[in-house]
Amino acid sequence: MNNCENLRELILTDYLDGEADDKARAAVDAHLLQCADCRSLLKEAQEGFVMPLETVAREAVPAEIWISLQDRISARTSWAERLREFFGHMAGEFSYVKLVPVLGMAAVMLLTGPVILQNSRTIQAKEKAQQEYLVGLLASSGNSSEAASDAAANPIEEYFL
Amino acid sequence: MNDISDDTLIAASQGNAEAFEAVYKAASGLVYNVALRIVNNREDAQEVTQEVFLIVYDKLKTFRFESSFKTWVYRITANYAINWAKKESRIRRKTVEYDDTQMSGAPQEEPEDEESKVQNVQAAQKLLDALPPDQRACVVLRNLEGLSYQEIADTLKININTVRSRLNRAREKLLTLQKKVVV
Repeated sequence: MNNCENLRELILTDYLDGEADDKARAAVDAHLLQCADCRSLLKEAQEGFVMPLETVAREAVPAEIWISLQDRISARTSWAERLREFFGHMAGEFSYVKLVPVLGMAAVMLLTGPVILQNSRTIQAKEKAQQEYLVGLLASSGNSSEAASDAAANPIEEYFL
Repeated sequence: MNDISDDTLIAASQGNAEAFEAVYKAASGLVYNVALRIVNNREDAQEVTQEVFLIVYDKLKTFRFESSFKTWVYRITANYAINWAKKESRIRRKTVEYDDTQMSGAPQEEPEDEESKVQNVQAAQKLLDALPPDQRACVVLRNLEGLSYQEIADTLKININTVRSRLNRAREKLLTLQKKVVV
């Protein structure tokens, strides 16, 4: 890579924009003295886009922007005021003091509901297991009652004993 | 941008309408012109300016004076305009119609200056229109607003080398386009 390629980015950025430090600037200056191509590059950049962009005039702000902006802000404000009025009215109709027991009850229900539900499910499951166990025992005792008539007490008898 | 006192900013953040108007008057020139050059269209620039000031109105209470107000406004404007330009370029390929844009809110110029100023604006618009929004924003902040590389990096919240790289790519592209025009 020759020196021109090395310096091209530096010329198009830091050197052109006055951001290069003294050492980099001196290196570019020295190169430009002996390189017509890089002098041409710098001239093209300055005349081609730096000058046209830097000399473009700032434009006046159209007045309608402020008018529209005010409308939009006041529309928002009026909505906010309406909401405040609504909640203010609600607060007047139903005082927060009256809502405390209701909210408290709701909180208790929310907290204890799952526990109660879980307990009731556990009890139901236990009862069901017991019933299934008994049905199983009865069935097995019916099938082998004659064969085991002389045997010792079977599990169902043991259960009732 | 005209200086705005901290007291004015605080009052505006607390909903004081007069203070907000003072903020608008001080900052609208900067916002509108940066937006105009990034979106490269007057109608869109008006929309962007309105949206930027609605953001300023909403977010001013969160401004903590850690950066300057000017940098904060530059950041909101540049980011909003870049996103707008990206969205617009996806929706439709814009062609800049200078005659139309001159009719929509263009400032009234003195007749003897008008021609050269219009030519300057046209030249700038053509150059900027050739660039993608990210590169265009860096060029606008550097060449039109005169920000340093570090200020651009702070405004766009990008690395300073990214600023350098975007400027380099933008300028290489502009040089290539110039050569095509000459040929």
